[in-house]
Amino acid sequence: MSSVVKDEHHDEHPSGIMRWITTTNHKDIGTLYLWFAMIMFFIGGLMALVIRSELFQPGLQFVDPQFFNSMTTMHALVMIFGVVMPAFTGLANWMIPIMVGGPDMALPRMNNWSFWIMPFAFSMLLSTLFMDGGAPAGGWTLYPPLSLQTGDAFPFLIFAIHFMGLSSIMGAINIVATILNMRAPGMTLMKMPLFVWTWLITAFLLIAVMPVLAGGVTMLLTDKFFGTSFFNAAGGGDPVMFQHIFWFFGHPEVYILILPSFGVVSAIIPTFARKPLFGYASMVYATASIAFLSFIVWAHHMFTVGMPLAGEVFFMFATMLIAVPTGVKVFNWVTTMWKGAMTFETPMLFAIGFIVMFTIGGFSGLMLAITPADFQYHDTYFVVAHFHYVLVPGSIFAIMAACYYWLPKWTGNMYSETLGKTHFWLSTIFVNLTFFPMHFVGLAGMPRRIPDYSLQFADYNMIASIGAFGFGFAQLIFLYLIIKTIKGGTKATDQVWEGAEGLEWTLSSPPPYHSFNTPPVIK
Amino acid sequence: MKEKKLNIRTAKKLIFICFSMFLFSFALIPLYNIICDVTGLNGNTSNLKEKVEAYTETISTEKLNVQFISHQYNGEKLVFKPSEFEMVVSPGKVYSTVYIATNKTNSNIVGQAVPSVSPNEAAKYLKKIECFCFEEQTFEPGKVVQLPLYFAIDEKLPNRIKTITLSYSFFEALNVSKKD
Amino acid sequence: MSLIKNLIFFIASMSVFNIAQAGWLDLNMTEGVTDLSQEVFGLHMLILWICVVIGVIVFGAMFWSIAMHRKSRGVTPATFHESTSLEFLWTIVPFVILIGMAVPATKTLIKMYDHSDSEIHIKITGYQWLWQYEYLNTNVSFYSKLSTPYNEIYNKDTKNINYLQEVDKHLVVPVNKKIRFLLTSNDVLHAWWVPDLALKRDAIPGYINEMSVVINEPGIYRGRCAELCGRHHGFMPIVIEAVEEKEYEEWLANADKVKSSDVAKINK
Ligand SMILES: [Cu+2]
Repeated sequence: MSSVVKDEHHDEHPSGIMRWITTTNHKDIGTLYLWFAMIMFFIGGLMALVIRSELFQPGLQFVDPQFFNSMTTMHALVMIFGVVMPAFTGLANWMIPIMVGGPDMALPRMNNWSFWIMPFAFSMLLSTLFMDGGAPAGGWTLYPPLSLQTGDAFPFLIFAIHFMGLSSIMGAINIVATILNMRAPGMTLMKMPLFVWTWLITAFLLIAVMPVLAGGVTMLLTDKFFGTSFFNAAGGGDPVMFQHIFWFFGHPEVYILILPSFGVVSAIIPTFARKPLFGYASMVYATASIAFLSFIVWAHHMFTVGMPLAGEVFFMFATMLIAVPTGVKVFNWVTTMWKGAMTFETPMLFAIGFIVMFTIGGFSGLMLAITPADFQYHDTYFVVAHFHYVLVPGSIFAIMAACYYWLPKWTGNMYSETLGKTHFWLSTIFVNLTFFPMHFVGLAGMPRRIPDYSLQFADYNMIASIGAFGFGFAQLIFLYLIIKTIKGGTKATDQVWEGAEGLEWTLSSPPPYHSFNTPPVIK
Repeated sequence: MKEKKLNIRTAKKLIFICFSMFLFSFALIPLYNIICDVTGLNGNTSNLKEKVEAYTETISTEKLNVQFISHQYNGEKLVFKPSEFEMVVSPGKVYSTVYIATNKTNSNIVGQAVPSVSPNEAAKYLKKIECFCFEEQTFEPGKVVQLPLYFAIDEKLPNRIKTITLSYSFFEALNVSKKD
Repeated sequence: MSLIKNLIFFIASMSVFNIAQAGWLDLNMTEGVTDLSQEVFGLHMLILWICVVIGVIVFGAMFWSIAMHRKSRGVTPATFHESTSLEFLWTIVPFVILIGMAVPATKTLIKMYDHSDSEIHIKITGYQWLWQYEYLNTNVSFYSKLSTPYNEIYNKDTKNINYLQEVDKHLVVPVNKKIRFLLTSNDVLHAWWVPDLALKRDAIPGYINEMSVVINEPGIYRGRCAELCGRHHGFMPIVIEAVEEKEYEEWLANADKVKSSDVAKINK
C-alpha cells in the first residue's frame, strides 16, 4: 500500500524496504499488520485445504495421520495468532489514533517492535514443518501429556508462542496508552466510537491473559526439559491443571478474537442505515460485561474432564449468562437497521452477513453451554462448526467488512463494487456450504481432529470439502481487489460514504502522514 | 513532552499488570492444589499421614463400599494388584488392606504409587493412616511384596456417596521427578 | 455465476443418487438407548427449538427491515437511538428463557452424576491406540482394538459398512443393569464416547473418572475416542454389545476361562 503515503514528510524517511523496517508511523505499521495477516490467511487457508482434501472421502488418500494432526494444529495457531489477531491490531493501528483525534500511536517505537516480532515468531513456528518429528501435532490447545510427545519442534513452538504473546501484549499496551492519553480535547470516553471502546476492552483482556498463556507454556517447557512435574501425575502434578490454565487464557482469548468485530459492525451498520447506532451506552456495558464474564466461564471447555457436579453447574450457568449481553448487541444492531434508509454496499453486506452467521454461531454456543448436552457435542464436529461460525463468518467477515469500509479512506481510491459484491456472495455461499454440514456430522457422532472417518459421515464431509475449496478460491478475488484498489481507481471523496460519521471522514482520502497535528474540535 | 511522560507511565502500569499476571499463572498451581484439597476437584488425596485417634471415637452405623483398583504403567515388568476388590466399611472406623506387587524382572524396580479417588468429592473424606504410597518403594527381583494400607472414612462423608473407589497408579522412578 | 449453477446441479445430482444411503439422513443427535440419553436428546431438541424461534423473530425483523427500510424506496431515516424500556425488556426476557433451559439441564445433570447401586464395575484404560477393559472383581480383562484391515483404510479394498467402527473384541454388558465405568489412561488423554449411551468422559493418566449407565435395549453400539491422542486418534473405536443378563453371565464365564491365552499386544 505504498501509494497510501504521499505527502510532505515522505522525503524525510528512508525509502524502499528500510522505510518499512524502521517505520514508527501508525498507518505504515497498520498496513504491515494487515498485509501480514493477509499472507498468513493464505498460508493457514492452504493448511485447511490439506485437511479438507484428506477428509473429502473416507480412507487415507493424501497425508499421513501425523501430518494431518500437524495441519489441524498449525492451521489453528496460524489463523488465531497470525490472522485474526494481527488483522485487528492492524485495524486498530490505522484507525484508533484517527478516531480519537490523535497524531499517532502513544508509543511509536514500541509499535515498530511489536510488529516486527511477528514475522520472526511465525518463521520460527512454520520452520517446525521441516523438523525431525514434524510440526506440533498435539492440537493448538497443547494439552499435555500429548503435546510433550512433540519432537524437535517443541521448544520452537513454545518460543514462537512466547514471541506472539509478547507482540500482542506490546500492541495492547500501546493501544491502551493511545486511547487513554491521546484523545483530542472533548473526546470523552463515552463519545468514543465503539470500535475504540471494544479495542480498549480487548487490549485489557490481552494484557490480562497473554501472560497466563506464557506461564502455562513455560511450565510445559520445564516439564519436558527440566524435569518438573507441573502436569505429570507421576510427580504429583495434574494434566487437567494445564487445561485450567490454558482455558483461563483461552476463553478471554475467544473474546479477544470477536470483540473488535463488534466495534467494526457497530461502525458500519449506522453508516449504511443512515441512522445513529441504537443503544450506544448499552453496547459499551454489554462489551464490558462479556469481558468480565469471560474470566469465569473457562471450564465449559472441560465439561468432560470429570469436575464435581457443583463445578459443572456453576460453569453452565455462567456460560449461559453470556448470551444476555451478546443478545443485547444483536438486538441493538437490528434496531439500528429498523426504520433506517439502508443501502447495501459491500461493507454493509459483510456486516449483515456477520450478524446473521455470528448469531448462528451464538446459538450453537448456547447449546454447547448445556452441560448434559455438551457431553454429546464435546470434541465433535458440532464444536468445529460452532467456532468456525463465530470465527470465519464472524471475525473474518468483520475484518473484511472493515477493509471494504476503510479501503477508500486508506488508499484514496474506490474499490470495484461489483467485485466486492461477488466476493461477498461467493464467500457467504461457500462458508455455509463448508461449515453448516459440520453441525450434522458432529451430531451424528464424528469426533474432531480425525484424518479418516466411518462411512455414515461421508456425504456431508464431501460437501464441506467442496465448500472449503470454493471459499478458498473466492478469497483470491479479495486479494486481487485490494491490489487493484491500491494501484488506482476512481478517486474517493473525503466523506466516502454518505451516512458515515466520525473523525476519520474529516481527513483527506488518503489521510496525511500524521493524522491530527492540531487536535480536531469535537462537537 | 508531558504527553510522552504520561504514555510511559501508562505503559509502566500495564507492564506491571502483565508481570503480575505472569506470576499469577504460576500461583495457579498451589492455588489449584488448595482448591483440590478443599473440594476434591481432581480426586487427588493427600499423601500425608492422618491422625488416627480422630477417627476412632464415633463409629457410624452407615455402611458403604470401598473398592480398590490399580494401574501399572509397565505390566510386563511389575504386577501390582489389590488383594481384594471390595470392602464394606463403616465411617469412622480404621480398616486395613494390602496391595500385592511382584517384580518379574531381574533388576530392582523403584517407584511410587500415586493415589486417585472417585468420586472426586470423596477424596477428602478418605483418610489414609498408613500407606505404602507415602514413600518410594523398591521391589527386588522375583519377590512378592505385600504393601499395607490403613485407612478410615470420615463420618462427614455426604450420605449420597455409597461407593468409593481408590486407585493406585504405579509410576517407575525413571518418570518420577520430585517437585521441590 | 455459472460456477454456482454447476455446483448446485452437482450437489442436487449427488443427493438424488445417494439419498437412499443413511448418510444424508444422519442429521441429528441420536436418541440413544438409555433413559438419560433420551433426556439429553430432549434437552438438545428443546434448546434447538428455542434457538430456532428466537432466530426466526430476530432474523425476521431484520429481513423485514432490509426489505422495507431501504433508501431505494425513498424512506427518510428515523433518528431514535435509545429506549430504556425496550433495552430493559430484551435483557430480562432472555434471562427468563435461560432459567427455563437451566432448570431441566441441571436436573438431568444431577441424574448423570448418580452412580449409586451400580451392579457391574468395569475399568476402562486408554492406550495409544486401543482400549483395555477390566471387569472388576472377575478375572476378565482384555484389549479391544480396531479390526478394520489396512487395505480398506488405504483404499485397496472396498470399505465395509462398519469401516473404522469395528473392533476385535466387543465390550459385552447386560441390559437393564446399572454399569459403572472407571476410566483412566496409560499414556496421554483419551475420551471414551458412545453416542447411543450419551456417555463421554476423559481418560486421564494417573487419575480415575467415573460414569454409569443402564442400557434399555440389547444391541451393538459404536463409539470413538473423542480426545486427540496422537497419530492414530481416529483409529481407536469402541464397540459395546448389550445382551440379556443370562447371555452376559455365559459370556463372562467363558471369557474367564480363555483369559489366560489372551495376551493382546499393544499396537504401536
Ligand atoms: Cu484416544
